[in-house]
Amino acid sequence: MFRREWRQQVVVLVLLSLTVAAAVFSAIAAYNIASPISANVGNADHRITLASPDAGLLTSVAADLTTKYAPTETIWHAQLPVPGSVESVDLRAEDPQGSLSAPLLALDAGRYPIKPGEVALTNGVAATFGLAVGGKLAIQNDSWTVVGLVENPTDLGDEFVLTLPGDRRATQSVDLLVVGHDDVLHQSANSIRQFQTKEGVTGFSQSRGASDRGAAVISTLALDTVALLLVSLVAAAAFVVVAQRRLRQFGMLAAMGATNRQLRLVTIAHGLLAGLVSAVVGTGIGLIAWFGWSSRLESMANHRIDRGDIPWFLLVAGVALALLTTTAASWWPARTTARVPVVTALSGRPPRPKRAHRSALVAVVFLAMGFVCLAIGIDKTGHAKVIPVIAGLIAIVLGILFLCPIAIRALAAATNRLPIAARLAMRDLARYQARAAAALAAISLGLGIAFTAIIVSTAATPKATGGNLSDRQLLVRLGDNQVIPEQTPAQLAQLESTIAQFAAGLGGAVVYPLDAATSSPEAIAASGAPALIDPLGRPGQPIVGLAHRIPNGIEMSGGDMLYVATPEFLARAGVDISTIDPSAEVITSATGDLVLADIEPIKIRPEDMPAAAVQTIRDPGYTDQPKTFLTESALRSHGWVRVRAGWFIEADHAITSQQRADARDLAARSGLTVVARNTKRGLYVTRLIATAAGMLLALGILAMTIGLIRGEAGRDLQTLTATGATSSARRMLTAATAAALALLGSLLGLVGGYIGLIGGYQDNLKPLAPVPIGYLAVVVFGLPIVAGAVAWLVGGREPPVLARRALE
Amino acid sequence: MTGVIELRGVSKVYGSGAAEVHALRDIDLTVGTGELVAVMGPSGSGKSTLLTIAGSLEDPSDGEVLIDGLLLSAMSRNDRARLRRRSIGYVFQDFNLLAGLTAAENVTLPLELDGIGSKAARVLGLQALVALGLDGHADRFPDELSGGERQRVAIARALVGDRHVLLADEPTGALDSANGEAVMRLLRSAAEGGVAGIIVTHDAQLASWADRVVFLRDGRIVDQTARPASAESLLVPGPSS
Repeated sequence: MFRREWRQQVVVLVLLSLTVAAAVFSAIAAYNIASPISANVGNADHRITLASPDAGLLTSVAADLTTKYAPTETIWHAQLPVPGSVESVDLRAEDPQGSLSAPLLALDAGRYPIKPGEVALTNGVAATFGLAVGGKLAIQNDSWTVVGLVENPTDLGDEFVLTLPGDRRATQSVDLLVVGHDDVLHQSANSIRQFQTKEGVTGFSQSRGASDRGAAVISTLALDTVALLLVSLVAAAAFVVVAQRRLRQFGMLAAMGATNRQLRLVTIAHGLLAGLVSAVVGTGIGLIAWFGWSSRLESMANHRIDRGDIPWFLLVAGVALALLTTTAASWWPARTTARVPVVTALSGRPPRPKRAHRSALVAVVFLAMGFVCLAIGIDKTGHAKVIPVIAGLIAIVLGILFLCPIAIRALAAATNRLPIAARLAMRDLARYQARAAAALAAISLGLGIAFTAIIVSTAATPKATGGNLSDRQLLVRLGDNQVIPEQTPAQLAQLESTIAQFAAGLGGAVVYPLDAATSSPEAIAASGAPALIDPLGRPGQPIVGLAHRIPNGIEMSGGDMLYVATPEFLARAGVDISTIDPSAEVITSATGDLVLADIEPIKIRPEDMPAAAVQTIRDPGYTDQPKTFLTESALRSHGWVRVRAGWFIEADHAITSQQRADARDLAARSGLTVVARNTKRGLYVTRLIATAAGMLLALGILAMTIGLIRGEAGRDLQTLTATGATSSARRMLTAATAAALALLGSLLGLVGGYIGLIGGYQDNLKPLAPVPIGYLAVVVFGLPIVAGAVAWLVGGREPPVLARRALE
Repeated sequence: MTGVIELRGVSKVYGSGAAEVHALRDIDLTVGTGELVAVMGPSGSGKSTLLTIAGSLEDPSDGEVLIDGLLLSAMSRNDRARLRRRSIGYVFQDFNLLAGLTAAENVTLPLELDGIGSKAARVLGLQALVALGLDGHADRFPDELSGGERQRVAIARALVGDRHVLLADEPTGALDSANGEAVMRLLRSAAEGGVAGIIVTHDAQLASWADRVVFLRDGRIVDQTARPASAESLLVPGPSS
């Protein structure tokens, strides 16, 4: 088979091999990039993390739990300040010989610390302090000799200073690695549960779970299926060309008595062989690429990768998929050519195209199936079920494939008044409908993927009136949703002054102070609750939050912070304070069974907690804008007191990216956090990349398929040349073919993309409302122009001199 | 006689070194207005090469070709294409009709390529088809026509407009004897209308329709005849198809 049509064979084999290689590489990469099963818990089943500013209490509780859950291993921590920075560094007392913690620690250089006064650093810490092995680490009044460089192989971003187990400095928090013991809070895989011991030590536990490798591998297989489907369509176009070239041979075989099955077998065997060759070559290339590039993926994965950890079952699946798709790609032309009447086959004439209305009907059925599968496969929250989603994608691709013949015939019928060369191009597309339809389906699928990326990224881009904050707003926060760091009046005055100064620099900005509610110091002291620390390690006060009552407990209300209502802020939000019900405790847009929850030890069972008296207001539309408020009356009736929790800054113009960066610098220096509008620039880049990649992919497919389609029409070119056609006519022929396929492919890809997306978003179509007309227009109109122009440039080659047709 | 087609010392060499093949060697041939020349010879004698060179589709390795007194080697590629559109008509053994175009569109192809509007071209194309007995077949596609009909469409395409050079490569090779005779009759008729033609054929009986027969062997003209006094008298004309 490779003695003839070798160019087509090479194109198909290269294409298939590269796709298989990409599939193999991406499957191995996805498998290895996914979080390893040992992340966080090492060789243990559970990790319990306890924290308390009271070292003695923490040691005591840890000892109790160690006894209860033995055998365990402990890793002790303390946050050490980095001189001259708001950052801190983790001092970690961990046994390098620990069997449970072994996957969490590896030595890169030097040795592990073996005596007091020695530490090993991670690369990041070493770079921060400008140290190498043999250097001296000095923090506060302590000094250590650096004896080694270490890392956490399951988390390369984990930066710490490794000290000897038992180092008395590391007593702020402790990780207990526990084996077995399902009673460790009966957690489901990978779940994290917060708790508080009866002694008042807060903590959380995390259980070992299945790695997310499974999901990653399934996603990769789904993508590989789509990629192979794409390539199989191009391969189908090539197989059609090859099968039609062999039509006379098939006629001769049929004349000699070959059955339809035997005739089909010729082309199917061809597909099978092509699949086998490409599977072997592609797998080889994929493996070579993996061994060559895997180390570069570690920074992306953020953990070490074992390049020898190859999921062989995935490779077998990839090879099977390649064989399946190529065989399927050859089946269609095999069936078509085997059915050509013997006399027609012997004459070498292609069979007359079938009427398209039947394929249109099949297309509608497949598109409807795809729509339904995607509607079932994607739930309201956007979570996807793999099998319905893959089935839906395949159904939509098949729907588009069956829609292609009618689209081609419609175009050919509509272009009867074009110049002769363009007319001939359209007629040829309709005449060689089978291969043109396969090529068109491949182009449509490629563009459909790009259109989907463009539309989804547009749907995910916040509108001017949506997102987290408006572009004129900044939210500066002190502490987090649970703890506000204690500030002396002088420190607070300093922060107020800094914020006012910064706001003045913005020009025309208004600053709204934001207060949270907390129990009085006396009440906190009386409750016996342990002192809390904020994320920066500063002692703080627990604040009151709004929670949803759920079965068996309460759940804090997402990221919504409960602020004390002020007339100024309510007025800015369009709420007249005089309209607020005097009995209301909370003014919020949240709904449901809401309760007010103090963070101090909860002594009331959730079911006994009184429901909060709520007055509902309209949601401001911005997710991070303060929208849940505690009324003054609730503050008084509960005996809570105000504590400064942040500032809301609103300028009269859009805040520039430089001003946002200045705000972040200011916050970092002052121990604050700042929230600014998330412009999601990444989505803009995604759209640009999708537009460019879609066009390039389609141009690539066009180049291959036009080569196949026009290559077969070489004899027509010779006839045209003999009739006096100039290179312009030949260019027009190729350009019209390319532009027509590009235009039809764009339109069908757009239709397929929208059908799939409407199916996926059918619960809420609003996100699809902003149609990215500009980007879509660039592809729909730009691609045919570019494709036509490129084809015009390369399509003027004079064909070889006329010769009599070689006898088959 | 004024030569419409003139080949002067034309040679053609393909390949080089050990693979060098001399397809034509020092050919001199002149075909005048209204003259039909048949070229005969065994396979590989250079007949088709002579035709492609005479038709400006291929350059000779040596020698000169003139059509209507114009030296082809001095013409640009576009000028030669224009010459083919306006002056030269080709007829091939296997017709070489464009399958995507109707019979009428195939005939008007050179006219439309030359910029004539499709409506005006169609009028001329229909006239050509009617002249060749194909009225009623104008809107059929080639695969809806018989072999004889297809070759007549090809001849109509070769003669449509004011073209006066006809080059035919085994025009009857794919036809039965009756259709073959009919085609030769049409070509003879075209020559009598002032067309200068070269016909490549294996068939001595069909060659006898020509004014002159040129014999090629190994790329050389080894013999040629003068026009018989009365060609028609030597033949038994077949029924027109």
